[in-house]
Amino acid sequence: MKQARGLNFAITLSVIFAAVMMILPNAVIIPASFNGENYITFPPTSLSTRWYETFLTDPVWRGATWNSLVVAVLTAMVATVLGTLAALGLMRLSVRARSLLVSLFLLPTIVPTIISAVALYGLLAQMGGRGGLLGIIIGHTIITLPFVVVNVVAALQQMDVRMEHAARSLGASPLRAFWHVTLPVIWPGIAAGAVFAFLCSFSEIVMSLFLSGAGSMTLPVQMWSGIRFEINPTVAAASSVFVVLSCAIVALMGFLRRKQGKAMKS
Amino acid sequence: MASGFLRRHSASLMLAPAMLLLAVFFLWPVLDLVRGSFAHPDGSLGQYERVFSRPAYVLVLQRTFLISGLTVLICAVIAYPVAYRLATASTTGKLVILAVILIPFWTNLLVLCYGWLIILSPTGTLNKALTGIGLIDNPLPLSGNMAGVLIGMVQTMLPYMVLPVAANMARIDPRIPQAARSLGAPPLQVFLRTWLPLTMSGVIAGGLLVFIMSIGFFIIPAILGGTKDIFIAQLIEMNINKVLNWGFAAALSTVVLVTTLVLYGVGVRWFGVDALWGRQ
Amino acid sequence: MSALLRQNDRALVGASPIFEEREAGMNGPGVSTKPKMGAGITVRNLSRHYGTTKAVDDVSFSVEAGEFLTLLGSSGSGKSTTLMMIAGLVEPSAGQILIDGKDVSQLVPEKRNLGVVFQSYALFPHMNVFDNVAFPLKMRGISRAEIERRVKATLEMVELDSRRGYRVGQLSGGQQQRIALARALVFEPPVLLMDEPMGALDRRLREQLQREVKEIQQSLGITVIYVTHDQEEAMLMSDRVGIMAEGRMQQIGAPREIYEAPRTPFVAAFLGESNFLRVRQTATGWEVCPDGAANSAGSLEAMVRPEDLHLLSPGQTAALSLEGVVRYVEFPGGAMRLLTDTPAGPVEVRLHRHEAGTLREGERVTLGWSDRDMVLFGAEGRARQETAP
Repeated sequence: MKQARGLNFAITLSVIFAAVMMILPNAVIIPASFNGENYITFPPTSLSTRWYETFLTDPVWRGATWNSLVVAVLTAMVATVLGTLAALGLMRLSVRARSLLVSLFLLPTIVPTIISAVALYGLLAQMGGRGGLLGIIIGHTIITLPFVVVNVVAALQQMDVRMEHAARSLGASPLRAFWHVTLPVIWPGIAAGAVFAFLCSFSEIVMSLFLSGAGSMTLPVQMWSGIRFEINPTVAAASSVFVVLSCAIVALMGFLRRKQGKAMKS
Repeated sequence: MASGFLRRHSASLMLAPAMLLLAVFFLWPVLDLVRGSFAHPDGSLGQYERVFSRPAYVLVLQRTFLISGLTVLICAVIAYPVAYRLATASTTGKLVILAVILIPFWTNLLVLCYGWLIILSPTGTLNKALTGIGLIDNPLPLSGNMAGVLIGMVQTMLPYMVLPVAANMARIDPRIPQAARSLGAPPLQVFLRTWLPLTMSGVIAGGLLVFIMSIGFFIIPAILGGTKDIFIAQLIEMNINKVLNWGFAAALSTVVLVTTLVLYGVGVRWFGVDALWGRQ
Repeated sequence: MSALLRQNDRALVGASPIFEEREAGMNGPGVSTKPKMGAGITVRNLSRHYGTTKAVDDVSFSVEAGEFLTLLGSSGSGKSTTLMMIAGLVEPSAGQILIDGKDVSQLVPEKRNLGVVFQSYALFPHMNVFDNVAFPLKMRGISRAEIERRVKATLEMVELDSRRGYRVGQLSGGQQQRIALARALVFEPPVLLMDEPMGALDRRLREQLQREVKEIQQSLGITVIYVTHDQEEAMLMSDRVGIMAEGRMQQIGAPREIYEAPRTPFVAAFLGESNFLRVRQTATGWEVCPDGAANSAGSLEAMVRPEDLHLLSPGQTAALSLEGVVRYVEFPGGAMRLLTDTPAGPVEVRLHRHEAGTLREGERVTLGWSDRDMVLFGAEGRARQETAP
């Protein structure tokens, strides 16, 4: 019994250690961002909102944020449409062909981003299309597509195929069966893929670093130069925005998962 | 008939746009990159000779693999008890642990690095606290070196270790350790003789995954590491943006790519690594 | 299984909570009881191959208008695939499907106008009861007032109009089954296809619904093709039963016909309990060949059901008889079950409690049966109908 209690205590201790490690870097950022001095420190030595003012007024930061929003929204849209279509196509294939193609779709998550980024950079440079938002959107779509495909395939696999069959037997054309039955049942999966694609693209740095040009800096690229080259405390304000956004998205994903669970229960 | 054509080829038509995008903007450029690594005036393997013969480059390779390996080990030690709690907790407990463990999954990598910088820098929170209570006189070198890189990498990679191990543990019939107890084994023996061997494949799957992802890391070593002790990814970036040596960057990329794919293949074939992505 | 056994099981499950849930009687108000004619279906040389596996292999049969046909078989026998091909949801590799003489093989499922009740119902979880039942009418562009009228009538027929606003997930299994039935009937299809519709229900509820489905079918005059692996269900409900195995139709006929005159040893063994023996015709009648002497000239394979065997008291005679030693006596409720070791091998016997008396293990008995109760199979495994010498 004593041995068991000791083991249990050791496990609890490790869990607490891991939890602290997970939470710490996020937890210091918001308080630190309100520091009034010319450097960032935690705990803050004086309180001020000056870094937020810079973040919200400086045209460079505003431009980068706007670029990131445009890229993330468009990436999420393209990846969701292409990914959902692909997932629907995958479900029509034999199990063998499906598993082969899913491997292909997952490849961008396995190949390190630095390599996909360098490769795409090379292609776009040859085509003379480097440095615009379009290149970044393409790069981000490649990275986020697997998440949409996996989410939608999972939703479709959970759904009873007979539901679609039932709709057909009751007089619905394939398109109407999809619209009235399949889509309403799997939409939480599609939405989860879209939200994740948005977050992924909005936070993505490696692709953007290679593909952005002077006029197409994204928020993470601006933060990167803020951290690496000038120790600019505005980064803290920008980081706080990301922390809040992540929290909101996690809550949204939880909501979508519950919805999905409910939609599947018949 | 058009509708007949659509019906028969519906799967291909639905897959086509995504496949085309992947083929043109991912597969083709990556293959082109690999091809570029063999284009060298001194013969086709010249770039590779350079990678593997110059001590400075060999050192970068060694460092990348060594730190990635260390990340795997530290992650395994921390993740194992966490995964155990996760696999055996109540529903609420599971949700809480999962929410905390998945933080790096949801957070911008730059934000994480920036957070660690605030904590670990010479004038950072940790050093101030330690000097404040008189435990140390001079700040510990926790950032701008491999210590910082390891801390950052362990944090970001932990979920990829915890999830496969916990999934593996959840599959173990709880009656097996109970049976061991009923047969007279004390808790430590139960652990050593039932849990540990039964969960080894999960640890290996997680370890492979963490290693694969670690060797391609760029942001963490760039921000939390020093300017001299760089990773392969940084060497690739330097050769693209500063040295403008495309062929050498291509050779380095190919080395990382081949290592990644081989290890991933091993992981999928023998340890079910791809299960993490929800595949059957 | 025998009727005795069935009654006994019913008594055992009588106390289950589902029992209270029911709702007796089927014909609620508002449904016209005037019988409509169903459509006839003909299936010709239907096959479905997956690679080299033949899920359905050259199956042909026809169903008359208003008939209740059950496809009976174990899992993987091809019965569901056959049904789904009729529904248009699985494409046949070869063969034809005719509804009222019209070839529908090339028709998409939504144009076939067949009601289908799926295994586990496939109700739409994001719609309430009313919208589920209204779905086929909406797809047919029927006016809202007419939809309201017809959904109400159909829901009243299955006695669930009070649940029209409920979500599907809020209903019990039996209620879901009725909604699935209502949804498949609301557009008045001439044919109803049912794929293991009772599989998920417990026994008590299943018997209830079996009767209701049968009543609805008869009052609407609709044709039903029903798929199940439950022999008892098939025998109880159907006008005719088709037995499928390994993708092929083994035999099709009225329930008593296939039970009493199975055409092959396979069908005989598949349906109910059976004893297989070898018998030989003699000058005066029949004799049983001992086991091992099976290949002796002129012997035939014969099947006799355990309930058709009787104990012969000394001096009593029967067309055929066999001596044996009781290996064990069992009482599973209902009839007594005996296994006897005879020179022709082990033989199973079903006896009424009184007939079995105080029989014990090890006792010697003489079993007798009438040649009318015996099915003979020729050398080619086909049944020989002329049994009397």
